[in-house]
Amino acid sequence: MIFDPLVVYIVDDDEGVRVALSRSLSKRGMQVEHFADAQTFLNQVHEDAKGCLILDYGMPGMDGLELQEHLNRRESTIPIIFISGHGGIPESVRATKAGAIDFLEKPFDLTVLIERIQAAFDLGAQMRAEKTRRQMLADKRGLLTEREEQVLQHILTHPSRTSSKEIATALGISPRTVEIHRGRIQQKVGVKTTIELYELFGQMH
Amino acid sequence: MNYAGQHEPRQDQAEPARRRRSLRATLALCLGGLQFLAILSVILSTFVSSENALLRQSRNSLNEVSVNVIGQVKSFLNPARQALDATRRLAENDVLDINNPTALESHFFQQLQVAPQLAGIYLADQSGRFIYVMRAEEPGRYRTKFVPPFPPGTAEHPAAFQWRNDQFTLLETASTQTDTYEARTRPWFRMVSETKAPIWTEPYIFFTTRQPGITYSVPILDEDGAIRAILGVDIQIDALSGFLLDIWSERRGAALVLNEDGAVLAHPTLVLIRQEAHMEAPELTRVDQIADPIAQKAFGDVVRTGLSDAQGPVHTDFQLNGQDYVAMLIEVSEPGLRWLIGLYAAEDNFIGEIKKNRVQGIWIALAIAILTGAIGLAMADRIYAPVRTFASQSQQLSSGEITPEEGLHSPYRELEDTGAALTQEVRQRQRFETAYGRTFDLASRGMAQIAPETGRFQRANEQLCDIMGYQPDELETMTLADILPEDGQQIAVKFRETLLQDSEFIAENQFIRKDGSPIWLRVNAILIRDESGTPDHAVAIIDDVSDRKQAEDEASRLNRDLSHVARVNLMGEMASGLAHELNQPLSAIAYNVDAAKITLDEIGNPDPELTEILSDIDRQSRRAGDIIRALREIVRKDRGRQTPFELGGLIQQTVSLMESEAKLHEIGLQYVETDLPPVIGNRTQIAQVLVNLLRNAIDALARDPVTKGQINIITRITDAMVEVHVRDNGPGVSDDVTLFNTFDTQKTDGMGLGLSICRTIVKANGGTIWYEPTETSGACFCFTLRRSDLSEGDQE
Repeated sequence: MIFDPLVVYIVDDDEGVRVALSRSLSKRGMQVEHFADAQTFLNQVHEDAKGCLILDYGMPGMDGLELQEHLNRRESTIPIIFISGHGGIPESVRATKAGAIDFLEKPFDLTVLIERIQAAFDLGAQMRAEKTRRQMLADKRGLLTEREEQVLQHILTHPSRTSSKEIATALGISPRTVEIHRGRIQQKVGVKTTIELYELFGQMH
Repeated sequence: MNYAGQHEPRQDQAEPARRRRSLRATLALCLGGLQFLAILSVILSTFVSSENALLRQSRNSLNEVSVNVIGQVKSFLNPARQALDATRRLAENDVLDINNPTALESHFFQQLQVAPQLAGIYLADQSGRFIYVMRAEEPGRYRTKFVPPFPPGTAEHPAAFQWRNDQFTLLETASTQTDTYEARTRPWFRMVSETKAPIWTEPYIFFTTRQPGITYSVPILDEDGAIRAILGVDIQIDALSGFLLDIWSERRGAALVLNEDGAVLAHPTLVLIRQEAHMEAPELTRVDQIADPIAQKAFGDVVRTGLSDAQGPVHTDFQLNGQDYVAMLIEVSEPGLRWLIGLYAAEDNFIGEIKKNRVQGIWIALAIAILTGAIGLAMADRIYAPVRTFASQSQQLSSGEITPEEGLHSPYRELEDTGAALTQEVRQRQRFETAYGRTFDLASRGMAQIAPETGRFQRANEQLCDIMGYQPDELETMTLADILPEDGQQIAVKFRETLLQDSEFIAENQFIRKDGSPIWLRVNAILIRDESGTPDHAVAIIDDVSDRKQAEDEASRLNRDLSHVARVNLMGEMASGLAHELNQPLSAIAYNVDAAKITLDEIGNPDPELTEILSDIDRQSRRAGDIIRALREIVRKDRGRQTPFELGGLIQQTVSLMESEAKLHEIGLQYVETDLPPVIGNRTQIAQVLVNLLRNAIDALARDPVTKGQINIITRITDAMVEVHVRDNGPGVSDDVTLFNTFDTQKTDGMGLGLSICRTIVKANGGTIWYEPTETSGACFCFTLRRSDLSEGDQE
């Protein structure tokens, strides 16, 4: 039995499937919430909710793919497992291209689904951590003055030319000033070296 | 290359490759070419302006010389005139007694001494008296001739001669009785007698000196105006030629003095002006006959055509023996005399040096032009160098030789910015690829990237490796053919051909695992093209369908059985419609069974029979699921048979098929044929949809007869589809009926399969089907089909 505070969200228009699936998953100790249509889910569940989404591909109104688009637009961190009564390769490619972690054809083996759910939980945690980290970095970066931002920008875009002299030449200020800015940046961001700075923001850039 | 880039810059290659100029060539052209042009224009303008300056210069020079010559000529003639006019005044005022020969001789002697160009002065009157003082042939000696009066007509008469030196000392005397000179018949005497005014005679060659000269003659009048005597002076003008020789000796040119008739009075080469043909009475040479070809050429025409009345100088340019000359003709005005000064000179005299300088200047300018042009080219190359470096760097970046972190750098700010944007783009692309890679690895189904031409595995995920029993690195050295059995090699060929035609490859075949055991795989693959449209790789999703194969074999057996039945097609459609509709409840059953089993476990000490029953339900629902999957495959396979066809013709045929049935119920059936583009789909299946819809309409009208039943089929063309409307004027559909649901029906004897099958078929053929309430009464069912005349934008 898995005791996890994470929630499995199910969106499927077919009540039989929806109820049976949620029942079955609940019985296995999972926290399950289900919705008859995509719009209700969007209205009621936060895009960074912990857990995963089992999403029916073909639904009247907003279909699964559209819901996925909505979530992507909100930079959701909820991983999606598609289920479908009539899945073909074009649909599954489209869904996985948009970030779905799998595409299962009904009726699927429950053990496969549970395996996928576990993978989705892990992925969701990673995505949330990543999002938080990015948010934190953006916050720290928000503390920088305009000039400090310029210096940082230069360090990130020209990693091979980060001596104070080179930065000073590029920005048209004195190397001494660059030193001061660099010191402040490192202090504000909480690192000790330029290399750390690059490691912190490099990927973001 | 990647999914993210898949749809991106296709339009680049769709657009015909426009010829683009090289930046380098443009720069070279601008820098080098402009400098060259600038210098060339300077040269040209200098050339033109110096040409004008040269011409002016030569004319000015000629004008100067002409002024000089005119002055000389006047100063030559004026003393003679002044001498004679003074003598005349003295005589008319009786200061000089013209009847006193001694006084006259003395006076004439003085005049000759003053003006060296005077050859002799004389006085004659009607009596025949003649006193003539002239220069003797020896220098410094003068000769006086006295002729006393004698009657006219006498052949011979006496005359006395005296020779003096320049001190007026008498040196010698002589006399003769047989002098023949008769002054009264001379032209000057006659002309003055007639006009009683001063005259100039025509130039002529003096008999004595054989030199050219002219005579000026004036009358001495008494108070009544009658002629007392006539004075004359001979002016020898050979000295003029000498002067002309002097002023221009150093140049290749000459000045001439001509009279109105073109006779040459003075020429630097004196001998040329005597016409030696008549030794007895030599004449002056005419300018058009003179042995000076340049003068002949310069002034011959003027003399032949006559002088214009223009007072101003006449300038001419001409060429002789390859040499350029300038010439000028100007008039000398003296009362009673009209002479011309002709001047000619080689152009080089004035402008030779300048011309030489100009040629030198052009060479220097040309050299500078070439030099600056070369510098311009070098500069262009230098300016271009960073661009070249940048271009090769971005090549390396896109091919992955440089990582985005290294970035693109350039001394130019614009390029630096572009480089930053490009780097950003590449980084983005790499992120997408990472994301795609994650999906690839996490997928529960076998996935592979395969080179479409060779069938080589480029990448395979864990699941596929598990299915096949190979390690990823092993699989990545193999091709599709390597895992196919020997009698199944044609699949690899079909794989390549299908994909390269941009079709979806779907096949189920037997493959061989590493341990040699056969395995049934279902391979779905599509081709991914790169930005330029060349095939990059195929993405294949590979499922192990060995279990299902069994069930499918059974289904195909069933299918074979059904094919013996006349309505096998409808049965197939029914089966697949059923399959689709059964799918959902079946899934629900399976999950419910699962939940029930867990619940049972929770109770503890469950009834083994109940557990067994549930397991049996589970098994049976799985079996049903397998059957459904197999059925669905049949529908999917049908999509492969979709071809373009003429919808109008099909509707017409269907209408004639159903007409008898409609007539039976007195229902009108009409299709107004319009021009339709071809559509794509399975022709027989679409016919089935039409038959179903028409039969539904006929049934509805027959069940609930109105005054006159009518069914109309209307077609409409939209963007990518053709719409077919089947409209009747029957009772319509009541609101409590869910249309298109399997087994929902209004009919007493129906199963509710018709519309459901229609929906399945239409969807499988890429269209949609819906119900539209009509404004009056009756029902309208509509469906769409894809047009085949438009390029397919979507795979579905």
